[in-house]
Amino acid sequence: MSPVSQDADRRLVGAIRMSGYLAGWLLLFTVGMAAFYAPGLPDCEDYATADPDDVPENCHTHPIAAKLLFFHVPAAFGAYAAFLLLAFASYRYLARPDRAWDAAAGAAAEVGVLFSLSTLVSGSLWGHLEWGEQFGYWNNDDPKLLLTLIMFLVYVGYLILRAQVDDPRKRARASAVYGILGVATVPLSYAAQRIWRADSVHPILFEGRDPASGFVTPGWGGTFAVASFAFLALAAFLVTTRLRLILQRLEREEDRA
Amino acid sequence: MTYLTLLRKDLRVEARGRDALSASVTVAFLVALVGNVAFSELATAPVRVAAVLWTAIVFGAQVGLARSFVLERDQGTLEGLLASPASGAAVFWAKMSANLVVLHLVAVVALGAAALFFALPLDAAVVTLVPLLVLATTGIALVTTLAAALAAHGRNWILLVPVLALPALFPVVAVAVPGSADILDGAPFTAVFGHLRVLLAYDLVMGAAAWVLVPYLIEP
Repeated sequence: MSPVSQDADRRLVGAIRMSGYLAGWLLLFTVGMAAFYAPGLPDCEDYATADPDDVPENCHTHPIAAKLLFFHVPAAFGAYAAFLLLAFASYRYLARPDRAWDAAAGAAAEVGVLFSLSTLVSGSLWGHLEWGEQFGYWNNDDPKLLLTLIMFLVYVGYLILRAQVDDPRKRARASAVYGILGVATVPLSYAAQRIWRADSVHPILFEGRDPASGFVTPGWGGTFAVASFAFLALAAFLVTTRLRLILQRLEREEDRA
Repeated sequence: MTYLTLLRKDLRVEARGRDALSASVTVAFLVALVGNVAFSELATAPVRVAAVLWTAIVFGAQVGLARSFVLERDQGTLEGLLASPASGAAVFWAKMSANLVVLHLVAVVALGAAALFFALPLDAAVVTLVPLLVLATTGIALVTTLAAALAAHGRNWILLVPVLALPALFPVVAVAVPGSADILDGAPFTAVFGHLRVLLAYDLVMGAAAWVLVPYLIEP
């Protein structure tokens, strides 16, 4: 008996094609919009001699680096989505053991780790550019940094756990339990600057009440939305592609046995 | 009932061999010593003493509690236990409770070592440290036992336990260190209520999650 039916495989191929197509176009749009549609932010150096009241609130030391927003945050969204999928797949596996859900959890973990690493690295570079020595390359004073790092390490641990257990049934069960426990880090990482309000360098993007938060510059909201969907589509494309490869390998192993 | 029987068994095994206790205590003591050497010039700044204290307890736990389930696996006794009327959950919670006893002893030794190396006055003020010590040590024992249960099926389980446990233990360290630093600095008990609340919430959430998930983890 193969891990999935031919019908399910056809649907999986459909999902790969669809998400790949979407991801490709949306990423192209993201690059184009980030370059030409989202206007550059004011450079703080231009206001070095100006009256402090005249310095715009959204001025940056490195305005070009601020466009990392269209990579840094959408990559985090992709990681969150992958880890939520991982927890859902783990739950489904514990409810009724099915190797396809275990394989989906494994595929989601790999993609989530890749995306969260992208977020950590891009954020680290961005912070260093914007705040220089004051920030260094890493600053644990910001709860969001620490919680996102914990999330990343938790899922690196998940991948190591999977690699370490040989028996497929035991591996699936242990990693499903761990996958459900680990998902607690996702809301904590997402909401860190909301929970510990004063302590974070991260703005609160989705909250209408505070005029200082969110996108103070026109064109940025739209670009950010497209970038977010682009990275979600990319995550979906990578997860489904990886899932199909894992399922095919399982099938080959069974044919040989 | 089976839980109490199993707990008695685990405690008796530990009392006869003292494998977990001696390993944990030794490592905790050595970490405190390393901390003393590393911070030699800075002596007794409370936050440094607190950092060394909790690093010692956390690493002591990694060494001592890691083999909780591997021991049963290698002797083939886990299958025996699960074939008996004992449930997997009872096996887990008995081990967790035995580890709790061991780790509290480790915490006492670590506190003693910190007092020794950092010339910490072990007077009545240390009593106010007890609630924080108990809550944080419980969290560390719970998470490390859970990691040991997860790692038991792995090839390099000794490597796997800290990889799984340490990321989950960051919050405990992040709260316990400033909390105990405040107390060592002479702050009154009421000053660390916030820290105690976070630690209690951590223990309860982790405990509830373990309560739900452990039956899936340890089964025949």
